[in-house]
Amino acid sequence: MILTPSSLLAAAVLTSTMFIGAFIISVIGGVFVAAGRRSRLAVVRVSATLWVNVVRGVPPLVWLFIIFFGISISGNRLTAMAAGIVAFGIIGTAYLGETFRAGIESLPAGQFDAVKGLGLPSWAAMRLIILPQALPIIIAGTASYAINLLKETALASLIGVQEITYLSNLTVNRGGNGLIAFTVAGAIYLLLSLILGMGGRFLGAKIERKFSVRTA
Amino acid sequence: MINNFQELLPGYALSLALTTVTLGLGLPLGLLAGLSLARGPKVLRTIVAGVVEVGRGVPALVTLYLIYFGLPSVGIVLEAFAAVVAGFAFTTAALTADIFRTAITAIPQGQYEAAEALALGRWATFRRIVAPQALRIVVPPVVGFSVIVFQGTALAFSLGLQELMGLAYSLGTQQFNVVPLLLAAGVLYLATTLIVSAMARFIERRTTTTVPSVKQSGRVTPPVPA
Repeated sequence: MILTPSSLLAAAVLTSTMFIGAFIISVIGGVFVAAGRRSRLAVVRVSATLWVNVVRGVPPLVWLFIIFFGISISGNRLTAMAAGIVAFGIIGTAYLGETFRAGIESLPAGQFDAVKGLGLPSWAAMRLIILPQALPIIIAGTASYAINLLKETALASLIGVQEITYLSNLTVNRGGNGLIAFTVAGAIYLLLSLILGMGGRFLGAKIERKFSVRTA
Repeated sequence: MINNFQELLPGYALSLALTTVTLGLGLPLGLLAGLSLARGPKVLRTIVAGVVEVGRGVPALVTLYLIYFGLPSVGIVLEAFAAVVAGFAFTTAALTADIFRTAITAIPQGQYEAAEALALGRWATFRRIVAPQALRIVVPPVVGFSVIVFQGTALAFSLGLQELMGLAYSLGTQQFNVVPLLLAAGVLYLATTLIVSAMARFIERRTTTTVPSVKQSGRVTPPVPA
């Protein structure tokens, strides 16, 4: 039996590392994508839109393989783990970019008009007026994407990253019970995604409290 | 490059077939789950909510493996195609249950009361009053979701099916030409995704009833992808 507490822990650490690395890339890149989509310059706007559509138009598994094999052909060495972080990070910039943009654009048009009417510089407007209202929506969307990303990391088992799904697969290959192995894997993902969901709700509630307008 | 596309066509056809069968099985299941969540008795609601939570929290790949490698240990042996369809249909049902649930709960209570006043039975109320209105809400997100299912069929590669991704990979390794073939497969996925997404937007424009608040702000927020 290969499924031991220590091997599961090691695999869960790999899953989490891949998730955290890709998530950081996604958030930072997503800010740029959202800003690009709302840019005044048509060139920037069109390139950002193209990026979003092309990245989201191809299955994550295909991106993962293109990046993993593409970089190794060019003569550079990229470990499977690094390829996973890069691929899922790149994919995340498109999805989170749209989540950020949708959060900002969910505000009534009057808010943007009012900000203009007040003559607020765009950064101040964003920081003081728009983001406090958009953040709860953005956080909810980001949390649900984070759960997606966590599940996506399972694909990296197919290029040999020894994370949770890989470990369960290995167990089956060596004659272990598949039902147990994959139920354990599923339970770990479920647990991790519940934690992510709870974290998202906690953060959302905190932000909402911080910026809530006191009436009466 | 054109040669590559031609070689990939059988895989593309299998991907489309997988998508069709998955949706054909998964959407009715999703509707049943959505109905139970919206109108079912409490026990059923709790059970369905739990199953939906599992379907959403567990990676589709793990579900596939569980069915293909796990079920044989209790005597259920499925071949790859059947295992893939079963796994995807389950995931589809779990991910669309909420779409159906919100559509059903979006029908105002007054509609049910009016139907009752007209002495319509439960089934007639659903078929003649609820379903036509819910359908309008459900179609755009479901068309959008079919894109996700289509892209998701790439996972069938992991069980050795020669769908678009699987065929591209196996041809690529035979010809020592993996990346160009994967890129060609990517182009086919991209083209299909863009066409179906454009269709979803078109249908959404045609079916959206104008809500006053939308008119006021002059802005329609696009649905956030799942």
